[in-house]
Amino acid sequence: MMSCEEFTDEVGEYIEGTLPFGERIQMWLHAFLCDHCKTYLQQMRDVADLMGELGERWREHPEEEAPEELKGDLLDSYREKVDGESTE
Amino acid sequence: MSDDAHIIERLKAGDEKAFEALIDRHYAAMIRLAETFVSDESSAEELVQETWRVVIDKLDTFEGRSKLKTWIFGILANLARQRRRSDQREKPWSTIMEEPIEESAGHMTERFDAEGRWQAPPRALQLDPEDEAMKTQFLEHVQAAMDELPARQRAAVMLRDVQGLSSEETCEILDVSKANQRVLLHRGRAKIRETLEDAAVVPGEVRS
Ligand SMILES: [Zn+2]
Repeated sequence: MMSCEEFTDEVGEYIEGTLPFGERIQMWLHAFLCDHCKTYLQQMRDVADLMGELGERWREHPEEEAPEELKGDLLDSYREKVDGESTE
Repeated sequence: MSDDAHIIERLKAGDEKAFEALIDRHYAAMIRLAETFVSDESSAEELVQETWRVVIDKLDTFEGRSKLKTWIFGILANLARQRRRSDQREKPWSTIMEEPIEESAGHMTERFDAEGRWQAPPRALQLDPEDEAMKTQFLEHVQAAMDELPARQRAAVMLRDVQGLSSEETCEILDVSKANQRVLLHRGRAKIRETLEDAAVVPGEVRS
């Protein structure tokens, strides 16, 4: 059986689903038999989920807003671009 | 995708409200991404501003083959690389972005014995998914841990996990190989996991 250290090395690839079939089976078997590695695998998935959740919260409430001055400048450029096209 | 198509239609029609909403939606994430390319706040702001100018200029050429935000992030990353190339004082991006793959275990080795068995097994994170207050505190730790990551790992983790982009999209934006992207992502996640593990064992620290 692969060692726990090898398991933790490969866990990223395992979660990504990029391991060849044989190695994937070995990883699955190791996690089935080894509680520590099962915990580690679950925690790595939890971390990815938590970051996804952080992203959700940031989408609902962005960390910072664009400065009004920048927004105004960009709106001017946008208006110019749109007007330029409609008169062509 | 259909959401994007709707926004694009409004943008091409000159809908200023839609344009403002687009800025509001992506500005903070763009600053975060820009900060992984440049070293100071004002350069990050400049880079984001420059990105918006290109977005406005190229809006009519956007064909919807990628997500709108992927397209915008891609423009930002390209501008950052161009800037790096023209600025001789900085190292070329490619040498900064590549991570030696064989060292992927790195910081974890001291937790295993000579046979590769756990010597210091992973400790429970004590994460109760139902407990909102606890989750909020966990997310604060996650964010703090992410902020501490080296730039390239931070970029990978942010695009994949926080922004929910695919590995293909992330490779393209960061201009790295798939293998490298996975190493960056894995290392970033592993470090964040460790931070959470350290935070969880101090009694009373996670619970408010
Ligand atoms: Zn194990």
